[in-house]
Amino acid sequence: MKIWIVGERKDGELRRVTAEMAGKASDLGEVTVLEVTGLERPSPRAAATALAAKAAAESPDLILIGATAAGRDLAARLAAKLGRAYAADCTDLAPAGDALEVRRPMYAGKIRATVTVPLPAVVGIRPNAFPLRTGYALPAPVAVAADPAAEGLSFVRFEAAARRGQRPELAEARVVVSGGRGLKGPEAWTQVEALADVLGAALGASRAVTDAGWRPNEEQVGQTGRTVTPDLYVALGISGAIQHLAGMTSSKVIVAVNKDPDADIFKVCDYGVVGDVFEFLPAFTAAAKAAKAGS
Amino acid sequence: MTAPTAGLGQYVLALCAVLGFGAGLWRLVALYRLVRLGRPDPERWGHLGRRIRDELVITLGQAKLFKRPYAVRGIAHALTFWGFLVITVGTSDLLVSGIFGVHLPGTASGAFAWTLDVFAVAVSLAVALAAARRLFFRPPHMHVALGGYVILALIGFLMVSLLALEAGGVAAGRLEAGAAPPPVGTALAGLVPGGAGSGLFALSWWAHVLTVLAFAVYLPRTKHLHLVTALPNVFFRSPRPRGALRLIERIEEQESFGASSIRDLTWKQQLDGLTCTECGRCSDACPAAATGKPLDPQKIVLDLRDLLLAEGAALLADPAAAGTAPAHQHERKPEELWSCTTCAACVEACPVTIEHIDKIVDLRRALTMMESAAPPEAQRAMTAIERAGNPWGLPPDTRGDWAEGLDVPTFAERPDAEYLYFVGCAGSFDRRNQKVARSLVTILRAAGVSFAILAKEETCTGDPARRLGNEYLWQTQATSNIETFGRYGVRKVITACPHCFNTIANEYPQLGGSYETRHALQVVEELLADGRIALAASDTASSSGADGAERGNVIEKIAYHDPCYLGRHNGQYDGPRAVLDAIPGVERVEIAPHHRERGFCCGAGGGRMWMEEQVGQRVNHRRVEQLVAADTGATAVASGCPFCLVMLEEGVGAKGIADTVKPVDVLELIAARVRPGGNAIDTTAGGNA
Amino acid sequence: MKILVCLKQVPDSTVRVKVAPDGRAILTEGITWAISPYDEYAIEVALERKDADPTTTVSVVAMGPARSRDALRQALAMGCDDATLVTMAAEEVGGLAAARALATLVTERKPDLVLCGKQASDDDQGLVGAALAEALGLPHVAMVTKLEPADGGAHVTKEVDGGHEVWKAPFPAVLLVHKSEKEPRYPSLPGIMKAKKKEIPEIALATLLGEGAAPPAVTVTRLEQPPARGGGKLLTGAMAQIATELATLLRDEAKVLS
Repeated sequence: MKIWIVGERKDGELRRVTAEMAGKASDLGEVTVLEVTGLERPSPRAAATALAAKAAAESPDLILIGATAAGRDLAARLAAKLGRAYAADCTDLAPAGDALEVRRPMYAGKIRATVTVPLPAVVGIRPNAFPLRTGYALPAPVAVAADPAAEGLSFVRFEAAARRGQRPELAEARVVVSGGRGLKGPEAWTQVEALADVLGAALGASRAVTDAGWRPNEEQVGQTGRTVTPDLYVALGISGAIQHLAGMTSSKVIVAVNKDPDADIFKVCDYGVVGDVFEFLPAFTAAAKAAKAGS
Repeated sequence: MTAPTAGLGQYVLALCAVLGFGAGLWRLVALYRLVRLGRPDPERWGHLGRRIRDELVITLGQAKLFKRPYAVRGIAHALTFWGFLVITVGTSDLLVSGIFGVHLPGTASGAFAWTLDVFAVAVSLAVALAAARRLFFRPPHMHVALGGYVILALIGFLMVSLLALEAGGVAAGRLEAGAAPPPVGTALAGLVPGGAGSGLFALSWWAHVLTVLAFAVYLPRTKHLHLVTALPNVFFRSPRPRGALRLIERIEEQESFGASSIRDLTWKQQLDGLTCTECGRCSDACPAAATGKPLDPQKIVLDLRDLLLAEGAALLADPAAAGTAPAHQHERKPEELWSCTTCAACVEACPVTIEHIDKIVDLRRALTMMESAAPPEAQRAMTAIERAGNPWGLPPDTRGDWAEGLDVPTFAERPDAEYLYFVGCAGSFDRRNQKVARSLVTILRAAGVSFAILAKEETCTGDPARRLGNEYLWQTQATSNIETFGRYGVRKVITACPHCFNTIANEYPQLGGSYETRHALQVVEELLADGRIALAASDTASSSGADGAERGNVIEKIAYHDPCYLGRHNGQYDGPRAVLDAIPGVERVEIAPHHRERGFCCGAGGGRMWMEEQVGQRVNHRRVEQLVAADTGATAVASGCPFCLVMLEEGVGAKGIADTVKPVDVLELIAARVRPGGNAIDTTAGGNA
Repeated sequence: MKILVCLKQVPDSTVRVKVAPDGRAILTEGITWAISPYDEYAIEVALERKDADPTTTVSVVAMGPARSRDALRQALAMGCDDATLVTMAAEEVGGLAAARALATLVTERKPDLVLCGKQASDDDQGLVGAALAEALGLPHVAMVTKLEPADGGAHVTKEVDGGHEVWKAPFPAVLLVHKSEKEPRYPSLPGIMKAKKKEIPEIALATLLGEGAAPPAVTVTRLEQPPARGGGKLLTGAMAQIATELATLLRDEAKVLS
């Protein structure tokens, strides 16, 4: 199988998902890594036009693109342009005759689907779905020059987000670290943020905490705040009142830390720690950092 | 006494009377026309016996005036009012004798003379006290407008001039033969200098009568109109149970919902505005007002009155005009409206039976249904009710999961069950309240009550939607439940939630769903009285969090918190208390003075459970402060409502007393000690499984 | 401005989706259906434009079985001007074919802007919007949160990492909506009543698809429920040990850490 990996850069570096995909793809066939150049801002139509032209000449069986926001945007347009089958945000793939069998989430993550994708295809791969292949060296990407004019739009300006900085937005975040009244006060959030940084998480809070003014209202998860559907939700010092649960119960994995063994949150969590959240935070922040590094 | 209106005097008096009463009547007619601007209100008729009784007790008897903490002031007002009635007879006599030369029958009697004078003195004292309070001992929250002093002066002057004319008349020998002498007047006659009697009599007589006529002109142009309007306002009060809101009939055929114009209010609602005495008792009682919210129930009523007075004439002239939308009368109006928890403290307090909640909901209906302007959190809750059948938007097919492992039959499994236990959204989905639901199951089982639940077939009663002004959603929800109840032939309903209870018992009949509905505590009271359950002297499982306490002789003090929808809305104050009192080892204490009819809301009613409080102090925090201030030594606070439970839990947590006072539901206390009673129905032989 | 919004009816987000015994589809009996959430944002973006400029027309179109009418009525109740249903059995065609069918409709209607949600919350593919733009030979902008009229087109706000970009899109263009400025509006009751009476014309999918082979599409072969959430695994021991154990479990067992 001839496989293309379309790389994406962030802050000058190729995103990790590129190597994740390439490593996996190397099991399935001949891998070429490409990246689209000549575009100052992500421009899916222009990029797709350039890639399609090359694809017409080289006929790759499979094109893999990381399912970042920009990646999904590009992948959809490219699939349409090439008239190929498309599966988005996949977490696994395997050959199946002259097709591909992929696994992907459906129904806002509530269902896992196995999907047959006829080749040739464009497939989006979820970041972190595949581990980095040890000993695999990512080949240097082939540059594919794109013409920004092909986008058909004119760029006006970029505005940086006021606060939040590098943190993902709560509604879209894959990981949420959330604090409740059990954290005793706003000072505890230095530790909460440290954990969130390690996990690349968005910050959430219970209503009690936002009411008390410890955290801004935008962080409130729950009935009157936001509903989140992350892969991982870490509930620190949160009791699990119904209003809060309503906002995070669709999380894939819930970790609860609370000193009260009767707290309702333990009835909905996947992993529970009955103990002092202030002992937990530094210990787990360190452990998580180590675990992530040693992938 | 012979009136000093000989000769021309009669005609002058007659002219003054015509002018005075005419001016008064003119104003009353104008107000009547404004009242007629309102929509028809068919429910105001019928129930004649009740209406007459209310008139006698509330208007004549001044019954609502005496409520604490206004008892003394209430007596002062009652005396003034009764005095006014008596003196009106006297004044009528003066006018009749002055114009026609004859006296009204009975006015010559000693009984009348005494009654008149006693009241004249009593009212004078009342007025003096009231004036003194306002001038020298004014309480900080009281603001007195000029009109207050004017009326006190007028009433005072009327009393003084009456006594003066009596004194002068007796001194001048104007008392007719056979007429009983006025006792006080006679006593005062001794103070009248010789010869001055005649002049004093004439002067006071005319002053008195002219003041009365001035009154007739002044009264209908001020809040003292309540003197006249209170009579019809009490007579036409709503026959609905207090907790029931008005139905929008044939909703599919309507084009306008709620009150977008002053025209959309009913004539009775307009009358309410004209009856407001501006006493402020409603605002004093309001939990939202007490905690710094912009809501002021008196202002709600007066704003509508002011709108009617300001724009009514223009609307009468132009039937197409709508005028200012009441819900947008000023910028903060919507905020005022959304602050209301519908606790009915205002309605309870009002001496002239004004119905504040109906107005607030009518304006909310316009905001919600016409303008889609309900607060975003409220809209989320309504959308969730629509799509998932519960305001939290939790998966509807998990509705019966709370009963897992308890072997509670559904109606589908046991269609012949006698009672439907309507669990409600909180009992079904809220973990804290699921414990209460399980407690109720324990109790019903011990008594051998035949019951079943609907589980997935149950859907939200729609109560929060209706309180938030979404009448359509409530009707949809209610219709759905009524259909389900009908399918299973449900006739008797038990629920542990006062909101569900209120709407099923008092509002579902509006849509054809009538059942024998009881709140769980009513049922427990009955079961105890019938001997179907008994309560053990000590409970093995600690129900109120006191660890390792010795059982048996220890008296646990438990404070009772009246849920608004059980207490004020449905009059159930004694029942839950009797249940608490039946528990051995428990001493019930009260959160005085905010208990029973004066109970303070937990803050979650009126749909506010799903909204943030952005301003002032949280209502439930204030309630917990009251609990602490009552200093009862209570280790638990018990109520009979899932909202109260959740709000009290949050409140004690926020106030840092969660380790000393545990919020519980009365049902939990019962369930921990319940045993089958002597008269329990044997469930093993074909009863409820 | 003339706006066309494409929407899809999906199981409501409060529904606990369950897999049918054959494992190939979800159980749909008795579930509540709703407008896909991102499509709702798209409708709201369009209606906010209409609020600002009442001469704007907002039309909606849905492709799906007859029950999709309810979703269209909801859109009408929110304030859209007219609705059309393209009838087809659920999931009858793949994303590319759906896009081509819609393209035929769009070519007929000639709106200035086509809006749709960035992805449907049932398949979560996010293909149709971009494919529609491609089929029409038009530019598209994804992750849209705001639009404002600009000379002969619109200024479109696009969410990106660390902030947002503003692009000028000439008419006509396709916008894939991520969020609206305000929450999608709750319909007024008069809106609901009017929507009940409005006619919703139908077009058969075949009419729009025309001749030619169907473009390739993926096939769902199996659906699985993630395991039910019960009480979790309670970790015990010294905190340092718990922390390491948890981190390892999250990485290797739950696979949410990497």
